[in-house]
Amino acid sequence: MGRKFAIVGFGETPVSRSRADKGEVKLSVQEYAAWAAESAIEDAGLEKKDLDGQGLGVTGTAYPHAEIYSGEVAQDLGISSRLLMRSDAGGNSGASLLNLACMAISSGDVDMVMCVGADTPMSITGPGALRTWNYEADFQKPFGMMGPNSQFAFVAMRHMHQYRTKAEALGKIAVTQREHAMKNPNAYLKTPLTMEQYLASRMIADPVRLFDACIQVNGGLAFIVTSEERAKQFKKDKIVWVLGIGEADNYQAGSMLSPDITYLGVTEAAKRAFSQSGVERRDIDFVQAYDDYTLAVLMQLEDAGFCKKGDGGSFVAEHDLTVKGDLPINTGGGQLSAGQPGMAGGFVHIVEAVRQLRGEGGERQVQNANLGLVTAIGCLGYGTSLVNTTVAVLGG
Amino acid sequence: MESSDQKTGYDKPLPSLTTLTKPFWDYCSRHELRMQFCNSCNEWIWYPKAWCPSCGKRKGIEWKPVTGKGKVYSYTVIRQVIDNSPSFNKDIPFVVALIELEEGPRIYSDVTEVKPEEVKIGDDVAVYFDEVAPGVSLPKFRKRA
Repeated sequence: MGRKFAIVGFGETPVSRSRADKGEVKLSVQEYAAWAAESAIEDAGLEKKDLDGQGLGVTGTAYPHAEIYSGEVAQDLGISSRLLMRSDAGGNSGASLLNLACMAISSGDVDMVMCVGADTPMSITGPGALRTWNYEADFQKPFGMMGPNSQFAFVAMRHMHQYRTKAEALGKIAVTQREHAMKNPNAYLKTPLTMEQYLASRMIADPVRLFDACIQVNGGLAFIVTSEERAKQFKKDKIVWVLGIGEADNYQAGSMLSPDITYLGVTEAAKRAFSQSGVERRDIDFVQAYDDYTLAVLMQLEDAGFCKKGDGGSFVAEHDLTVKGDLPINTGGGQLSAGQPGMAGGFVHIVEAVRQLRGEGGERQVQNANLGLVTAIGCLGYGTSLVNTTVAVLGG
Repeated sequence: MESSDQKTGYDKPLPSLTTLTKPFWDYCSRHELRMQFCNSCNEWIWYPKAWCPSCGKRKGIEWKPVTGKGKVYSYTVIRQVIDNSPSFNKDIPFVVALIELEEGPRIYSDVTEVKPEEVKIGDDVAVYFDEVAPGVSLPKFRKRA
């Protein structure tokens, strides 16, 4: 990357599962979007009007929305943007919007982009939940496939077969992230989790256990990206640099009939992100990896090049993945424990990386965190793993 | 997805029959497993696609028979249904496999007549057809010796 880009503000709302019995709030998706945007704008020291004539990026929502959606969000927020983008890349949406924001800024036509992710998956009722890919409706559901848990189970089963990956490696990821969530005031699951409890948790779709899967929440997140030049007007301690970013979509499968489903396009995306940034793997202080499932984290560590393909299980066993360890992962608890705000889930990793690089991690702060890696994946494919992937190297 | 069939009482999701997918289901109704094959580049195509994803040509694609024999490439045991698929509740636990056919394509389908713990990766399986609704026979699989 010839030029650098800066993330100069973020917002993150409290999360909720809309549990009336626990006194949890039930807010609308519009409220979460506005709350996240307001927090990001305040954090950056901006006014809403500063975003007029700039770029606005939004995710879709799992909660039913119009197909023509980004224009609704622009109206809701009252922002007159010069560029309006929506990512529909599922878990990869946050990182894909970051990539698009950098590209938009490098065109010179805008010098700021605000990306907003808000979703209320806990409020889905009725047929809205049925919207899905044609290949799932026609060639998976009639056979009793049960959405993401079952789709990812095939990847996990194959990985465990091909590389003898042990459940204990996946358990270590779940347990470590729970420890992190306990230090995160905004995490949904904060009760301790032991390896025994992980192993005893019920199978949903073999080999995916309950504690292998993320927990859905309602919530909103946002971040603001700007150019290297414009970044000069922001407070130095608020600036986090995007040093390299690479996206690879439908990369490992391509047009192949029989791809190795244990690979992700992260292999290619990471290559480009690292080469743009000039950063080496060994210099990375933490990894925020998309964690819809525990094994997805392990695969991303492999494919981002921290170990050889198939060695993820032993890598996880041999390394301390806690915030005090040699390679901290998902330092806020991730989606496994802090929660997955639907289509905004990929924002969790970007926002947590920015927080760590600004030294604002509080109890969960990684000491001397200067370089962080964000890896993102989305869209469970037919006969492949995940279709959309992005990797970003961020620096404080 | 079509709604469940009132006459037969079959209450599970059915595939939609479009100009692209109907040939597949029509062959299934005749108990023939056929998939698209691209004569331009000699590649199989699965699931049904509107051009050959290998060479990007729309012409020269034909529906060619496959043996229906293959091996389990990966699988899962469904132990919990999701809200919009309650009709599978009576079947749990059941096995869905990703089956690699002898010709190469991989298809998701049920492996039936077997206990979940008796299925493993590499198992030999063969197709049979389950007539679940008018015009729809699902290609399912069972183990073969």
